[in-house]
Amino acid sequence: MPDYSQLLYDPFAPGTLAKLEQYEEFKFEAPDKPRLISYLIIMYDINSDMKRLYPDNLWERKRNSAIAVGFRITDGHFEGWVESYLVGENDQFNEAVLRFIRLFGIPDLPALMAYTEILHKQVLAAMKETNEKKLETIQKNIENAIEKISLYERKVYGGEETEQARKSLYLLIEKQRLSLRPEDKAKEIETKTLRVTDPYYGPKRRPGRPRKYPNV
Amino acid sequence: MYDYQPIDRIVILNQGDPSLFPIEIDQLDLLQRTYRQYHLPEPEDFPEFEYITGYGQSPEMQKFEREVIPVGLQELERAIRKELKPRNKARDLSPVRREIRVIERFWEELDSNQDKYADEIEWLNLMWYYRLMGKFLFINGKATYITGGFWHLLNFWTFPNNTRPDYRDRDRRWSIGIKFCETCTTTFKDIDPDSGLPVMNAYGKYDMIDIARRTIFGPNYMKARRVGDTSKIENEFEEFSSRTISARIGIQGMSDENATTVFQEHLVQPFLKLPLFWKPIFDAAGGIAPKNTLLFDDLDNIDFGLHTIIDYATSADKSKYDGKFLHRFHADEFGKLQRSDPNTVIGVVKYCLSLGAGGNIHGLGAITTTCDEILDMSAGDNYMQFCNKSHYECRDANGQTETGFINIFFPAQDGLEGFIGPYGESIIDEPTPDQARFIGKTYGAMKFIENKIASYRRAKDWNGLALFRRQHPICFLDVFTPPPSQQVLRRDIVEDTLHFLKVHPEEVAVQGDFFRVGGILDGTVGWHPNPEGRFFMSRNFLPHETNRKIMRDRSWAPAVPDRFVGSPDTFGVSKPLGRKSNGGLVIRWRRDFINDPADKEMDLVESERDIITYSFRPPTVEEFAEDMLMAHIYVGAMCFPERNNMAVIDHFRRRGYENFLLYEHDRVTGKRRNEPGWWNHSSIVDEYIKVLADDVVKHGKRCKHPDLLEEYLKFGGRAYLTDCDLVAGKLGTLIAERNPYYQLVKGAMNHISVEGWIPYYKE
Repeated sequence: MPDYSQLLYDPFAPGTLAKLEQYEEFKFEAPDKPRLISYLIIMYDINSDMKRLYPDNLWERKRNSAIAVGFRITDGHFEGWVESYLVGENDQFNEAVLRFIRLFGIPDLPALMAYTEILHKQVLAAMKETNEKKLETIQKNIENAIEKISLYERKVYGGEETEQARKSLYLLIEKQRLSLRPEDKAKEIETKTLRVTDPYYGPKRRPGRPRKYPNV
Repeated sequence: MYDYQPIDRIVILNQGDPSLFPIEIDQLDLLQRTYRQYHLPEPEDFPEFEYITGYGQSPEMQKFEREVIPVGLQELERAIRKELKPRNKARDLSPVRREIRVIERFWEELDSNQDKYADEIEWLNLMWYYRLMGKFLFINGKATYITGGFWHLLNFWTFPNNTRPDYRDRDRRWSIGIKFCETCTTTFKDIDPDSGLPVMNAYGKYDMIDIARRTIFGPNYMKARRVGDTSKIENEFEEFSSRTISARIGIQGMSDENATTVFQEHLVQPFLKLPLFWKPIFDAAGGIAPKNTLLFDDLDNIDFGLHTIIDYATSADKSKYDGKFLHRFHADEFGKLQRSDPNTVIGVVKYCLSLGAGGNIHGLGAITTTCDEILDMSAGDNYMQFCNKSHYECRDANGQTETGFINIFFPAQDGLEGFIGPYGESIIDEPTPDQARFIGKTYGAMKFIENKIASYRRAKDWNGLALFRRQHPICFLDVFTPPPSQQVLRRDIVEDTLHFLKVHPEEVAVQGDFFRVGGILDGTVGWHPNPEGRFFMSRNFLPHETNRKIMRDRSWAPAVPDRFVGSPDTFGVSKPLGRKSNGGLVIRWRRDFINDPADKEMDLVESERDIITYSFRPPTVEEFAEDMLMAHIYVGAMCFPERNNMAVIDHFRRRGYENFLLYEHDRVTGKRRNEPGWWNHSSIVDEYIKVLADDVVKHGKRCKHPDLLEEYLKFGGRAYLTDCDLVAGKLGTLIAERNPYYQLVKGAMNHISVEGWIPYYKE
């Protein structure tokens, strides 16, 4: 039985979909959405086994992630709609992927993912392309992408220690998440845990001259 | 350093209105209760000067200034809106979905870039404090507290004409009134069980006790036209609902159209213009501008959102909210309900705002209304009845008024547009030179309103004047000024006479007090003119005309009993739970057929008119009764008091003036009744209101008492007697006039000596 406790969300837990749907980007319709979200999690979570098993080949990772969550291959192909989601033809799903990556709180991770996608698309394009000039451009793009990927991989996956530190950082951020939305304040008021910056009686009080804010 | 003034500890509402009890609100207590609402440690005092906004500035620079949204937040919103412009993939989003996406994105960006937006986040934290607790600021050198709701209104709300509210001192007190209703858990310590009225302590003050549960359902705001109270209530309720989980807010108007207007123009439109950071997620199904319901929920994601709903009733029917659980309820224009009775509707709604048979109040209601456009007289009557049951001081044993609501009245001259000073202060009387320069006028709001009334009188436009008075009430009773067509007494005569007295002030009754000469308790009574006096007198008495009394059967009696008759009305008339009314007295000079024979032209008649009026509430009933006694002794008048309250009768008897009391006599047998005075009940009152109407036609022009004439204008029938003390007294004198006693005494007087009788000489 695979261990998903290291992942940000359990890909097969019943409540996972509802939790992610609190984000606007996850509110889209799909034929088999729970399975698709499971795929998204094991494909893009930075602690997923799939990343360890298929570190270099994105398509191999995508294919095996899809199979792992139960999408079937018939005559060598996934169903049409599954394929469109996997190759990035669905904008809403792409937004959900981007949102999911940003949930890790690692600023460089979205860029790394983007360059990985670019690299693989450019490699596929190079195989089909015959025009010399265009091939030259693709070659430059591939070299640039490899360089960027190398840079961001060093930043993002720069060793076990760093990753652990980032994980801690992420947890900290989660704890210190802003509580300024009306919904957050309503919850605080309801649970009698209201936190306010008291300018008159609290420790943060300041002399009452008209305040000047930066950029005001 | 500047010499700043400390904050006023007490704010007084209903101040100076003769018909209303002043409501004293302790601002520190209000602040502490606000902290308590949010379970925060309560401050022990107001903040020190140096932490109050505006500290360090010169007083003339200290004006209200709106909060400035940091550029970082403005740019963030701009960038997100640009990103989500309706093009490419965002094209598929409906406007409301896009708006929700913008809100989501805004918070995500702030969340994930907390270092970058550290200053803006600190600013937002501060804004939340102000919104919930209120703000302290210096206004013209004076420390001032504004409630969170008022702060929200001034900074973020818009009026239907797309303008932003300006700082007004009148509105500051208004908002303190609504916050007071929301947090008040006090009532009067000593309440008279019979009258329901509070009783003063030995120091002449009213003690209050905290009964640890709310006592007020909400304010009943009677207002002048176009002062923005409807928008202010909607602001208060939106501010509450957009930070409260699972709240239910209802709006009800005098009609479907009225409720729709309130909902659309005073709530939804301003809500849409709020900055992003105040907007909770709201329901996309209603579109960008919800038509019927504002739901703070995302139906696509039921786990998230406040689950709060604001809607309105499509009619003024009482059953619209029957049985519902409400947190807030706004009744707009309830003074004009045509087919419903506000007493019934509020009677239903108050149980939506509370549990335990109204004992455990969890919600807050608010009534805002003008009383113009009264087409159906019952609308005004019903609302007046509601107001009479909502007087602050009339509490039951549970600490609530009969309706649960309390009257809060701001006269038209307070906050009148065009008469607001540079610091938001109301300019009611003569402005200071600085104020005059600022408003461009050398007179205040009161003078302006008086000038308007005078011009209506000159033009003899009584309809216009009645409407103007209702639209711009300068006192509580003006709210109920009946239109001429529905007025019991001839408005044209009364207004004409008032105008005459204004032009000829020498004809106006002289104000003053009666006193015991030499301070001897049962000594001679004297008259002392005093511009602050309690009495008005319009007859000159020669020295030997006064204090004429004789001893008969061991009790004093007037020497000439058929010359003058007075009728005192002791604190309150007919309502067991009425307002704290004044005591009233009218003394009438009966027709003097020697000086004014029957064939004399009415304009030249000197007698057959009222010569003394009194409308005042001394600290004790004893003092009132002594005032009455002195007035009757001075002029030598028989006293025909209202018998519903025996205080005056008892006082006269105790002091040995039984024979000053006038008894009703049976017309046939000539036998007198057991008790003196008249009994106030509906059939007698209705009959004598007609007599009063005739009296006004016949003698109204010769009346020299503006206080009585002003009451005539406000008088609309029996229901108004509670607030018209002088009219009640006047009715008593008219009832006395028809007492067969005078027929009996006429014969008896033929046999008494007229030695010492002095005819009346006009000066």
